[in-house]
Amino acid sequence: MFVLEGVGKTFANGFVALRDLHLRIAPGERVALLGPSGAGKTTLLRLLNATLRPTAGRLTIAGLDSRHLHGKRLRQVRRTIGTIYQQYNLVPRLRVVHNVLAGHLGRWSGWRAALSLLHPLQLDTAVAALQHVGLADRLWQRTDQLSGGEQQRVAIARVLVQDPAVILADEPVASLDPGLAEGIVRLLVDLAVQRQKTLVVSLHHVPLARAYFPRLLALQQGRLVYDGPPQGLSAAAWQALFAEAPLPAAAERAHVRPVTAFPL
Amino acid sequence: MSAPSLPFPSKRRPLSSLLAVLFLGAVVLSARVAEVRPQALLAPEALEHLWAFVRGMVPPAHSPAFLRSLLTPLRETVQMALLGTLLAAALGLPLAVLAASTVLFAGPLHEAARGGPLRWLARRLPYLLSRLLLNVLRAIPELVWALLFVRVLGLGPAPGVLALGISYGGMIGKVYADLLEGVDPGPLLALQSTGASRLQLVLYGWLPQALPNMLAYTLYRWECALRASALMGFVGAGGIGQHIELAMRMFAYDEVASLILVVFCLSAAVERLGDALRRRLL
Repeated sequence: MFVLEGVGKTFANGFVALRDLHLRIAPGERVALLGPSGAGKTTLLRLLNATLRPTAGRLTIAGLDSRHLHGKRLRQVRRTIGTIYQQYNLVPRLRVVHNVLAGHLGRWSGWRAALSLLHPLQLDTAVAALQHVGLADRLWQRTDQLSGGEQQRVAIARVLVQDPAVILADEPVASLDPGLAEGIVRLLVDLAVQRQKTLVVSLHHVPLARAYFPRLLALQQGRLVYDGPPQGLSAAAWQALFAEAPLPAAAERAHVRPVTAFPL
Repeated sequence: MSAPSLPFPSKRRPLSSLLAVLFLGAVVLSARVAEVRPQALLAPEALEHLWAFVRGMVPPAHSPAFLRSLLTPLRETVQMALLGTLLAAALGLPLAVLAASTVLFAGPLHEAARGGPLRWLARRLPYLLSRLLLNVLRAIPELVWALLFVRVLGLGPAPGVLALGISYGGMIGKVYADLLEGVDPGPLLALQSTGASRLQLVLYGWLPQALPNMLAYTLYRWECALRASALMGFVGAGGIGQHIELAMRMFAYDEVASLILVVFCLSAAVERLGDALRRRLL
């Protein structure tokens, strides 16, 4: 599904997020991505969903070289990759139904998309997806009235509607309390198994990763330091990995526009 | 004995004292150049005029026939404000989308964009042109636009509507563009990763997030438009202003008083309404 050959990413501000990554992820694999804040997990996931481009090396997505993806073709590739975020990234003021149906945007024309905001199209797909995540009764509610756990389920319902070949999740449970976290991870894993989707999830929580993923990747300061089954590293080795003095979290979010104070 | 120590020691800034002196000088000079002489208001003949004016205003005109004659200009004024604001929003919205840098080239959504000087320019050109157009539209006051359109279209509310639509379109477009630039990029990234096009991102991400603030600002502009459209009549663009001007010219101060009262009530009512609507929006 993904082939990375010597992939690196340096941001415009000079921050080196990833360096010399060699990696191959086969269709249907379930992979957990581990590492301290600032290790480059978010950047790697954004490379995989083709919203960032590598600045070094070669990234192939489903056999297509990411360097040659532009315009319509790029959007088609993005459509086959669904992403779930730590902050859910739903549009708060839209109703749940529109956030879920946004999964169709890669297939819909601009007109269909506009029409659907007035009169939801393919409503049955949204209902089915929400039923799958146990939120069928929230269809017409405004999204910002939902709790964090519910919003993450709506985001998963959006991915279900999108029906991609790959599901990426960037710290999907980091903003949720631990009781809810395992439920969300299990939902994602079951989904990937049932529908034969490739799943790549970045996690902070090592026990969850070990319990649900046959393959673990560990990143540290932009380098791949482990790639293998959970048994390959002792608990103590994981501890050591995370004990590494964490880089400032801001580095990982280098893509967010800085908020400037009033020039008083 | 030592001087009491202040928590924030005040620094003497010679520059700010100099600026203060310059500012005062500018005020005095402006008053002289503009021939502002407050004592002129107290000259005997001025007081006489003022007295005639005040006496003429009491009681305000209130004959049923006169009050009935107010209905048409009142309706015209309200319609002018409403249509003018709608036109301004319709003009401002598409320009705002092009004038929002984050929609076209800036920020996290464009990190995978292709390079090259031609593409660089192609992405910035619509932005620069629409910002320029918005600046020109709002740099010219609505009364000047009205004067122009009265020449072209003749007397009546139509030139008033156009004038409001164009000058407010410039203001609304600028503010909409800034609001679009300020939305949370997170949901936009998520939509982009589903394969959504730019237009779809605008429809599903930018607009829904900016809409409450955009509507609130439009409401505020509508309140301003109402006050402005009461003036439009002075340059011949219909509405209540035309009647105020006519009554002034015929020394019918009682009618002037009623008309001013009507304008006052109207703008107070609209402000109340706007406040109530805004509270529901935000």
